[in-house]
Amino acid sequence: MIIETKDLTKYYGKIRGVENLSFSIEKGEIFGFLGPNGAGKTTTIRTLLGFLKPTRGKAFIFGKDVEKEIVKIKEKTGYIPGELALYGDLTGKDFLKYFGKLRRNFDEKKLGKLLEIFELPLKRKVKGYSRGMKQKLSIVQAFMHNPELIVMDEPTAGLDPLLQGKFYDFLREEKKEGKTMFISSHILMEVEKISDRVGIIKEGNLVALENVDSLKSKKGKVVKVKTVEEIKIRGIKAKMENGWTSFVVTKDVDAVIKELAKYTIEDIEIGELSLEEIFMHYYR
Amino acid sequence: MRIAIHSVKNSWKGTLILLLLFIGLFVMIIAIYPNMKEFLDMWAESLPEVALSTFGRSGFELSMVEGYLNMEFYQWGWVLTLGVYFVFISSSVISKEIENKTIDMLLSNPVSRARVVLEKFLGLVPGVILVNVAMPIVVLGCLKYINETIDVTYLFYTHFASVFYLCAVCALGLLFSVIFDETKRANVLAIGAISGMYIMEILSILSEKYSAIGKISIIHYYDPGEILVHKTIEASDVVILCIITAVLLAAAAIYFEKRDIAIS
Repeated sequence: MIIETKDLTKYYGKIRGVENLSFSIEKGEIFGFLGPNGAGKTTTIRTLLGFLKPTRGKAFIFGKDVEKEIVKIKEKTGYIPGELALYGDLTGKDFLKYFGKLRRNFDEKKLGKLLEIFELPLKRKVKGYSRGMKQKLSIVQAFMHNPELIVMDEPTAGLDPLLQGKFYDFLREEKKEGKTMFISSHILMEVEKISDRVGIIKEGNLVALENVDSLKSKKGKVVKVKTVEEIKIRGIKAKMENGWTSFVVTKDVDAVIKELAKYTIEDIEIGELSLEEIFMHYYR
Repeated sequence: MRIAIHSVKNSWKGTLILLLLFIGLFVMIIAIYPNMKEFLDMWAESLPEVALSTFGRSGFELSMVEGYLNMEFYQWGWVLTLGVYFVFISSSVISKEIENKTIDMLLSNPVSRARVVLEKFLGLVPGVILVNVAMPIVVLGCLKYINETIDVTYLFYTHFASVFYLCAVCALGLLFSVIFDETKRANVLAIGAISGMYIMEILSILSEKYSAIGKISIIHYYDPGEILVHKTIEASDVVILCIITAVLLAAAAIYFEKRDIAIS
């Protein structure tokens, strides 16, 4: 077991951060941590990594209590913070040099490989970096000491689709080496591409813990249709607003479309179920 | 030591500028001394006792060059102004990392928070030493230029003790730095604390009634006039400054270890 939490709870004074989180992550697993903004993803990560003291409950990484042995834990852990705050006055090279010296297992070879994938203007000062470059630097530093566990808080924010692809390929390679990864995101599509298992957090509580495959089965389409007549389709709960009818189709799309064909359609929109809608539909 | 070295690299420019400003100030003060000399005695005699102790704690012998330097330069320039400068930068070092959110990156490394506090402190020490090595050289050079002499041993002691005083000041600033997330607030409160200590010390000299409150002031344990003019250096003062530094650093480290680092 790489990560294990038992009733992990964090309150900021009276304000709820996260409540009674219990989950565990196995070695070699990519765990997607999903939730809308403000659900408690960052609070969970920062509590796991010792920035915040739990109000109640326990968290262990590599079997070590995060409240007691966080320095030892960090020797084998990489972290991509959600806030892209790097030392702007340093050049990319100096930044990596500085952090390389603070990491015990810093690995020149690994760094070289990372810089091949995530090219960076190393001679330029970090404050002149674009958001994407900063995110790349953040990725490079998290992996350069060959950690066993990498905790990532919204790591693809700021990466263009091409780089996102490169990043996922890189993560798959890392997984083959037995690395364990914890990735938070508020975008389901993103996490399901790469994760083995997903935890869904809502208002500070873990509402689901599922394999990606079973989550995928919960996919669906949101159908919004504007019709002249009022729509009534058997087995579907629809919402009506300004002549638009919207509903979620999870199973038999074909049947629904054929049913819809009986009406006079003025306009139609069909979209992927967003994470929020999955929450609404499945975990209410 | 990496964090300390990084911290020195970050702050040496500021310290150097400050040093140059102090040298400029000192040259100005010393340049007018030959012309001022004869008036100073008369002026000193005409002042009431209360004013004397407000200006400087000891050594109001203005006609002696040591007395002049003590009053015009060391008491407010060194003890107060330099104290304020070092409390200002030391109260920024950690609060700035929290405010700028770089603390997440820094603490992603296998370093304890106590080590961060200690290394940030060590990163301030070279600046403290630099000003205390450079200044006596400038003092001696300038005095030679106007044909005045000074006891080199006690000038050395003045700056030797000053190192411990400024270290205690840095430790005080660091304590503020770990408590407050906003750099400005940490700065203002730390400067308020050192200025308050200065006032407490003056008060304790002015009135018997307040003599006890001076003892809780860091400034009470460093009086350049006492060393430079009266040629006495109390080993106990230096030891007390070391203890104050150690206690403040320990408090800062313990507080920093225990607190939540929330970023919003």
